Amino acid sequence: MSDEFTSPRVNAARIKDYQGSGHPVRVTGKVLNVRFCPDHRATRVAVTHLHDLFFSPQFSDDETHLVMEASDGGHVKVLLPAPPQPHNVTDTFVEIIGTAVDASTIKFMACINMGPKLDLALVNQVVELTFDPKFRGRLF
Amino acid sequence: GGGYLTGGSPFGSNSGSPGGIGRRGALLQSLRPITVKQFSQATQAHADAEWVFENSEFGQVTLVAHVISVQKQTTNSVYQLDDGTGTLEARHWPDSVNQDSDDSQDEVVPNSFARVTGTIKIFGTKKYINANHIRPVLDPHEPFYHVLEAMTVQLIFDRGPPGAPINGQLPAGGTHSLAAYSAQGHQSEAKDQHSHLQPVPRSIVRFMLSQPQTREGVHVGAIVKAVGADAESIERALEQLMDEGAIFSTIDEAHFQVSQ
Repeated sequence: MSDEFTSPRVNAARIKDYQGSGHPVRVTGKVLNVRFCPDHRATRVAVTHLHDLFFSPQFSDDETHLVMEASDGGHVKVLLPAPPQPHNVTDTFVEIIGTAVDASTIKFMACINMGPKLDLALVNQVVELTFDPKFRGRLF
Repeated sequence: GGGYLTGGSPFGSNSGSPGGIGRRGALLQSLRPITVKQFSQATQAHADAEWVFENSEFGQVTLVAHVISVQKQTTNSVYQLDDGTGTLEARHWPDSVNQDSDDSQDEVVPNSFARVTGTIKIFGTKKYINANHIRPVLDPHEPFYHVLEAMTVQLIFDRGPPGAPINGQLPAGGTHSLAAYSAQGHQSEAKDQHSHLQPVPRSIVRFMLSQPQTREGVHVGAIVKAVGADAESIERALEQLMDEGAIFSTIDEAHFQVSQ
């Protein structure tokens, strides 16, 4: 099936449709913070609230991960590879490709850095349009 | 019109026509934004035939995709590209003809978005893009712009260009060109433009159009006589038509002409 090689661009609400399938998805959005284990050094990313860097009660401390805001505003946790495996997340806006672990978590496979400025409302409209029956199955 | 549609016959001639080579030359002048999925589904009747996707033919194509890998070889570079709808290989042979002297020479690197323009080729059973141009995207919005453009152009092939008259004839099946939507008869244009009007204003306009078209137009007395409605209705209708810009007064307040 040609589906094998697709990695649909999704927002937070649509991750659940790919959860557990091992099928990679693309989440375009804004990096909110990086949560790091004490013995690993975090690479620099955007931090919206300083206290989140040290206190983020909803996420556990045992793996390196980041939180991003997807194009629909939903928050997505991205599990980063354990060092020494590098990841290249450096910009505020990124497209992260990964497999959906659960409805709000993806496991990092690759990242495209997209700079400091991206219109997420536009991105979300595009994402939703790609699922429109006029196009899904034909162009996407 | 844009470069999306070919200059072929409006009647949708078959790809196997004797004029094939000439048509193909014209086709290559067109540039079609696509997704990898469309590339994967495009088919070719025989070697050297046009690549066809559903209801249209591809000449040159353009894509924006995630660069997975870059392999620089002695004679060419091979790019693995993925736009979320599938993966494809683009090969770029730099030579003195293709090289743009004012290229920024920004390198296309993995884990970035790139725009590639070229033609679909096949080597054995393997399809690829023979890229005549590949560059990093200029702005992070470019991949999204490209998706919208690919959708728009596909809809134009599905439905005709936006703004085509509702009763315009769409050629049945096959490819069609912009020529099919140009010049409409004057009469049908008038009917289309004014069919939304109330009876009195519509009769007024129809009467005015039926008169010899002169610069001073039609005298209101003639309108009253021809349309047969009471003076008040006619006056109201004339005002409405003037407000809409459908008619205008000419030499004096009693003469009117239809806006063309």
